[in-house]
Amino acid sequence: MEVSIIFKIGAVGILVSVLSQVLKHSGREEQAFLTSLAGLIVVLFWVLPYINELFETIQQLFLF
Amino acid sequence: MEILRVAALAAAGVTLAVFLKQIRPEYALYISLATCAVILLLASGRLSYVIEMVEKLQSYIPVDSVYLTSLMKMVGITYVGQFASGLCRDAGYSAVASQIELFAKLSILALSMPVLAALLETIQEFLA
Repeated sequence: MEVSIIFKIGAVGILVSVLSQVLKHSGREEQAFLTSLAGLIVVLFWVLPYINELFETIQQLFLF
Repeated sequence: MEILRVAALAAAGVTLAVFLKQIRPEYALYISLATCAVILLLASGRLSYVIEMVEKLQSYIPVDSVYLTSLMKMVGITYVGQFASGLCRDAGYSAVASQIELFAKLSILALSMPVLAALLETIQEFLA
C-alpha cells in the first residue's frame, strides 16, 4: 500500500477530471463540483493516515 | 538498492503530478504531499538506525544525555519544518514557507539556550 497510494491519487484525479468534464458538458455544474469535492475528500482520507504515521514516527524517533 | 526505489518512486510521483497539473491543479499538490510523506517515512527508517548507533556510542563517551536529546530534537524540528515549508513552497505560497522556516529556526535557537548556558558556566569555572 506504500507506493500504490501515489498512483491511486493520480487515478482519482484523472477520474474526477473526466467526470466533471462530462457533467459540465451535459449542463450539470453542481454535480461536477460535487464530484470534485468527493474526489478531494477521498484523497484526503487516504493521505491523512500517512501524514499521521509520519508525524508519530518522527515524534517517537526524536524523543519529542 | 533502497535509493533506486526511492528515486523511481519520486520520478513516478513527479511525472504523475506534472501530468495532472493541467487537468486538475490541486491533485498535483496531493501527489507531491503523498510522495513527500512516503519518502520521509522511508528516510526515518534509516534515521532510527543512526540514532540507535549514537545511543550505543554514548556508552563509550561520557557525554551528558541532555545534550544528545536536545540535538535529536533539533534534527527533528528541521526535519518537519523542511517538510512543511517545502510543501507550502510547492503549492506556491512561499510566504507561508518562510514563516515556517523562521519558526523552526527560532525554536532551535530556544532549544540551544541551555547548552550555551552550560558552556558559559564551565568556562567561568575555568577562569574563576
